[in-house]
Amino acid sequence: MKKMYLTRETLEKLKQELEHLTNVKRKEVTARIAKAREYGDISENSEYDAARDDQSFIEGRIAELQEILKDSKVLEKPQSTDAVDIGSKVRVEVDGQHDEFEIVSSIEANPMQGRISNESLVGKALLGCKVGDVITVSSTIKATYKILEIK
Amino acid sequence: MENFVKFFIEIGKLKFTKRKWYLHGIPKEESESVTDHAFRLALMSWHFSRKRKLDTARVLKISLVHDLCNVYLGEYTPYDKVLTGDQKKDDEIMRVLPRFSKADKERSSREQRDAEERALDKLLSILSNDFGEEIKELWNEYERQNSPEGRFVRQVDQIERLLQALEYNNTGKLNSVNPFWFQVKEWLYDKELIEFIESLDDHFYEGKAGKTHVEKSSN
Repeated sequence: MKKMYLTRETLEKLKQELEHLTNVKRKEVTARIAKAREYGDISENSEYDAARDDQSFIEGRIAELQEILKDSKVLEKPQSTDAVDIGSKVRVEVDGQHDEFEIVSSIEANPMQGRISNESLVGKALLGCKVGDVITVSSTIKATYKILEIK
Repeated sequence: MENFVKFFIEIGKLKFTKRKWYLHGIPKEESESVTDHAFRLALMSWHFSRKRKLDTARVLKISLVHDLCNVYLGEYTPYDKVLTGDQKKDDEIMRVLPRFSKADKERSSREQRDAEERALDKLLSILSNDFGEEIKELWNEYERQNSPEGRFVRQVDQIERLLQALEYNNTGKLNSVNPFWFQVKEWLYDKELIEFIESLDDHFYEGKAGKTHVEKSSN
């Protein structure tokens, strides 16, 4: 897994989630499985099947979180505002309007809140750009962005 | 079982709840419903999740529940606030994707989430059981994007909208398909999903543009 840059807040949330899953959810689902076994034949036991499905999901999420946390670094505010980097806030002109994005890792992306992934077509294209640069993400419909400010 | 009867009657209303395509020029009577959208989203999400380390059952469930709050709220869009109610003016506003400052986006996103959560809680209060709790958990994964499955469905949701927009565009009634293209270019980061939108481009524009690429000019 490649190194992921995450805000301190997100890292803390992920750590808390991992702790909750390992200390609470894992125990709960193990207890549910044990109880479901008491109902008898597990081949015809829907409670047992549901609990096993949940266990599989919880274990998968624990593994995923452990992997993310192992490979993550705290995203510090970029030292320089000369060029767009992950963590930069970028003000752009697009379609005759102004917009503002923060470039973040995919796991934190949410364009509805102004955070776009460094792996999205636009996010990737903005990386390395300087004020005044114009980028166009081309397909039949072209999307053109002029960089006005890097914070 | 009475609570389940009531719940299924309530969510049945989504078959007749239109999505807001009229904001983009499509007559209300021709707009898809919330369930129309969820149906194709579920199939698309299922297909695209198969080759990934994702829980397909969870992906399908998230696709099915992600818009349940529309039962009481209708479709909530971040653009509702900038619209005037005058069809001509609104058509002009929606011809390009309305843009907002980051602070406005954060505020509007929070307000939307709060309104949707209240509507969902009202719906789930009919159930008041573990089925309802599971729906709420899945909705949160989509809304707060705090699971890989939630983040994945959110991206596929953008593609389903784009595909619907392209289909409406072919009828000649859609004001502009451009805002939908801008959105997917800002939203999608999954490589296979990006390849799929290139296939949509090929299909609907006969491959005129070639592969998606970036042109850059410096001052």
